[in-house]
Amino acid sequence: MMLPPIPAPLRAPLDRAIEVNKMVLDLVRQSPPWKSIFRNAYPNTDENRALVMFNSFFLHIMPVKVKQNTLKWTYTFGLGLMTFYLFLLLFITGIILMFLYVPAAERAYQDMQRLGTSVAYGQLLRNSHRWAAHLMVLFVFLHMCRVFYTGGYKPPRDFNWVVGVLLLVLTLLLSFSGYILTWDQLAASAITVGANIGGASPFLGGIVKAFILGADEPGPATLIRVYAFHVILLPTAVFIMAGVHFWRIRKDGGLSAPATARKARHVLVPSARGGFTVKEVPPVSPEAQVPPSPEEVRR
Amino acid sequence: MAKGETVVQDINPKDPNKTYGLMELMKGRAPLVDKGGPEESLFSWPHLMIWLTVVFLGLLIVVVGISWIADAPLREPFDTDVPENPAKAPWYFLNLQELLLHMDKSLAGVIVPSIVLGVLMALPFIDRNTRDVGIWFATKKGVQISIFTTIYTVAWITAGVLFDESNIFGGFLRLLPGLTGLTATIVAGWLLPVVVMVALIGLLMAIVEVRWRPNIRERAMALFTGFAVAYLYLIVISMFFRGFGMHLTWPWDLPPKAIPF
Ligand code: HEM
Repeated sequence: MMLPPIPAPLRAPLDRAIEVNKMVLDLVRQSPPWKSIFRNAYPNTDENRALVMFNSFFLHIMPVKVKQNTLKWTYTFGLGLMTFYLFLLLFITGIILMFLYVPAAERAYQDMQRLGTSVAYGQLLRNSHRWAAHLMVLFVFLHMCRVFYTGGYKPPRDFNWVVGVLLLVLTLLLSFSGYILTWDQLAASAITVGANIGGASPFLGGIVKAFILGADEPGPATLIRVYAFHVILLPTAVFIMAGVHFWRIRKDGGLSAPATARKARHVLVPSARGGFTVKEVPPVSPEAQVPPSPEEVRR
Repeated sequence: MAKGETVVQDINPKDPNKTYGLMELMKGRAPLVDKGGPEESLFSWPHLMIWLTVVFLGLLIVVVGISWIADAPLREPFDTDVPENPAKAPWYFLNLQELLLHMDKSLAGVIVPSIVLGVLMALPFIDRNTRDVGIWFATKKGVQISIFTTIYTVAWITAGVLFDESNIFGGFLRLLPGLTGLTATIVAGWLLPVVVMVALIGLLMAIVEVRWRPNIRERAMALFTGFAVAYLYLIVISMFFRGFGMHLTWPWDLPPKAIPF
């Protein structure tokens, strides 16, 4: 892309501005506080691109290099990632909501109304939390479908699939428990159906129902226990399990990908003259599991 | 020398001045084989980071955008003495609520979902064949099987729901007049639904087996597609086709507030 030429009278001040800008940046980047936080220079060399990933607490869960296939958006559609992002958004909006909502049966509903009438951006906050929750349930389901249809559940990712199923269950419970907190008639329908189903558990029905409701009927005791699940127990469980999920992705060799249609590869073989020889080996079919060994090549 | 091989260069020739040398070559895979060797991989910074940032910003725009346009629902204050009609669970549990209409509640609400979750978790231990990993639907057969299963599932669920109408003792017992009391409960609430569900899954697997001679992944695909389609389709039925008293209606005849949003 060609930029339009800079008019002559502007050139000098612009150059000066760029210079000052650079000076300030350099000053910041060379200051002890900056260097104490970021131990590598800006990642524009391969070495620093690697270091930036190692050195950051937040980035080190990710590898220095990723497969091209992982970055192909039609492979993952970013669904797992978006599920996690939605969870983060829910975490943040949820914490703000905790400042504005008291989980007591006699005022929970009014608190919900107040969000719409007398809290700045309260309605937007509530809407974001609500719609993000619905989207999270949708995306976790779609993510599971993506993993299934691409075969991402096969060994060595078998255990991570199981972790995923637990995350699915946790997500559903999290969403359901939040749904109760509005303490309106939608919540009443939901808790009634929910307690009904829980109460139908074979042999344990009574215990399960009492556990959900905290009383014989849905009421104040239900609200406070559902709240505790919603704001502490379930989110903590999701954070831990999501941590395991991501850690396992690394340990399982990154995301699944098609077996590479191997290109010609180079193999190192001892040469008769005492050194070593690089030989080019013709491509093998993707079914071949182990590349030919030097012995095979020599034969 | 094997066929097709070419010598590219000699490296590391024995050098009398060196005190070390390459001693031995071992058979095996290099640590990076199939993990994306240098040719198939890119630096996370910036390639992955750009992705992560763009997706986050896009998602943020979508969520705030939706929230700007549509308000979260808030109905009348909680009162279980005046239940809503129809009283519907949140959408992701509407499939269970639909099942509840057709069989005993512990079968529909607890046993069936537990079995589904159990099979889901067991899936990677049943299908361990890593042949076509990383390829959407694995094979052409996989695509065909998934499409067929979708049609099969929608057709049978539609037929079953229409037949059974809106309560467990309606449809099935019409076949067997004269059953009452406990027998009726057991037959209509347990026996018939179990037989129907098992038979429909069995028939699906049999058709797929005969028509496509599938491998294990393709069989799993029939099962999973059946589950996923049933999960979503039952939600659609319960959300858009269930009115007063959870009876079947057309979406345009739904009573107000019948959609739990
Ligand atoms: C809170 C819920 C979940 C979160 C936040 C989450 C997050 C992620 C992320 C970020 C990835 C990387 C690839 C991608 O973005 O698609 C991933 C991969 C994976 N997820 Fe999930 N996930 C969740 C639930 C699930 C569920 C329900 C399953 C399956 C039942 C599952 C199974 C897997 C597997 C097996 C992989 C590796 C896939 C591959 O290598 O192709 N996850 N997950």
